[in-house]
Amino acid sequence: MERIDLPWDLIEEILSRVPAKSLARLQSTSKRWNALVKSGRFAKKHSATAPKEFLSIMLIDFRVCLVRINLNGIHNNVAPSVKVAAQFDLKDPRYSPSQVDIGEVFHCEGLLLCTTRDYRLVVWNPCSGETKWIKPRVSYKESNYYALGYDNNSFVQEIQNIEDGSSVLGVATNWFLPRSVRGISVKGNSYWVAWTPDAAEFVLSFDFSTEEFESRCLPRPVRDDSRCDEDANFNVWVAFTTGPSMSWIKFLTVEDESTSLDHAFSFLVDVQNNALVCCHQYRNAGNKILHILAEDKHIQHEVPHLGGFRSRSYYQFLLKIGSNLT
Amino acid sequence: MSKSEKKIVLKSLDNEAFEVEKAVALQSQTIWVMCEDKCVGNEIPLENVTGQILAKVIDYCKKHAVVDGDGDESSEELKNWDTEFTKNMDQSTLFNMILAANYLNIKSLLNLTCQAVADKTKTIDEFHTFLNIENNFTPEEEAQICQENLWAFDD
Repeated sequence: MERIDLPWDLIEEILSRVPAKSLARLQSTSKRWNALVKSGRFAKKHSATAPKEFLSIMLIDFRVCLVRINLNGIHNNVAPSVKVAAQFDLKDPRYSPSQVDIGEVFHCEGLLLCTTRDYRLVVWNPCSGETKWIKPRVSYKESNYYALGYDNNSFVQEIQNIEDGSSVLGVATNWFLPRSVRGISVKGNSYWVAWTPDAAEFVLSFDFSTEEFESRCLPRPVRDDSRCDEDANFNVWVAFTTGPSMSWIKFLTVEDESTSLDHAFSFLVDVQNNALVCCHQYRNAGNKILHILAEDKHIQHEVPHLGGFRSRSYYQFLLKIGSNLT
Repeated sequence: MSKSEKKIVLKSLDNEAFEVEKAVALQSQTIWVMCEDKCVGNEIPLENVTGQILAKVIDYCKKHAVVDGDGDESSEELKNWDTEFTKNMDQSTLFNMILAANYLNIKSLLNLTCQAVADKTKTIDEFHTFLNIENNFTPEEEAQICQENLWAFDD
């Protein structure tokens, strides 16, 4: 076969279209490629052009782990499998040991905003290992809510620190966020299920480009997360946002009246298998359970725990993140 | 505009001549600039592209050109056509297409062909052979970087 050597700029063009995972494998095989992948210019280009892969991650015992959840055949009584495939290390070279324990995680476009166990804040790209340590505008409090988003001009723009009832932005508010609520990020904006003073629930959104809060309606009276609702059966609603409007589609009805996920706070939707995986906030640090819900099933699967004598955390999160090198 | 003015002749490196609609050829920024400059007549010599590759480039441009209202194919159809277009190309054809798209400055074709190479190249060895890169890390350095990227090696 004819041997053609492409000039370096065209090789860059090709590499910027290779998925992040393959690129990470290639990094260890050439000094030039390694330097390229680590350069900010290339990372920008890559995040704009490469096809997105989705990774399921979970916070287990203060560590972010890559998990493989396989629900294929769940409707035919095939047992679901949940495996911890790898662990991402959040490191701070200024400290020893450099490995940092993570308290909570907020995800936005492949980046994780983490609060650490030693009360610090960091924006972290688990795929590239890049970190940016952040000083809160006012001192860090464990009861604060943090969210990560972006506006039209630049990527990670704002880190918001929202306290119950009032925000650092100085906006007078008449709502509050229950402790068990976790926010989610969609297209740069953040969403929570908030309460009015008379305990009516609604979706609260924050637009990072206008720095404004907005309230949106839920499809029906809702129990807990923005996507879960309860009547006689347990219904799961999925919200779609297109521009300023938000629409809801009933995704799943679980025919099990005992199903209640009062403290569930992170979800993973498996559209292919028409199933939902979610996990709770735990009141004790004992064994933790992943709830897997499908039409006529509610399977409780024990969370694989990390080995060693590590202390076990109360929180766990389950997220699907787009891998990205920015 | 007379009929002949709407046509343009592209001449390949190996002297193969292709008569095409101007609207088809002008998708190439390079040809567009040449025509604007009026430094060439109706015949444009393309010294970096062989006839075999130029024929494929013209196929692509014809499909993507909006000529006399014929260009209203749905984007879904175009996408499928693009996939078929690169599907059976071997590696050297694809590389020649990348070089041609780059030289002729046809952004969408460059995107398509680079993505095709990225998609077809699977293993580390393939990347090294295709892109002619040597592994110049010591085993220790290699292990160190693998350690940092453990998540990518889980299966």
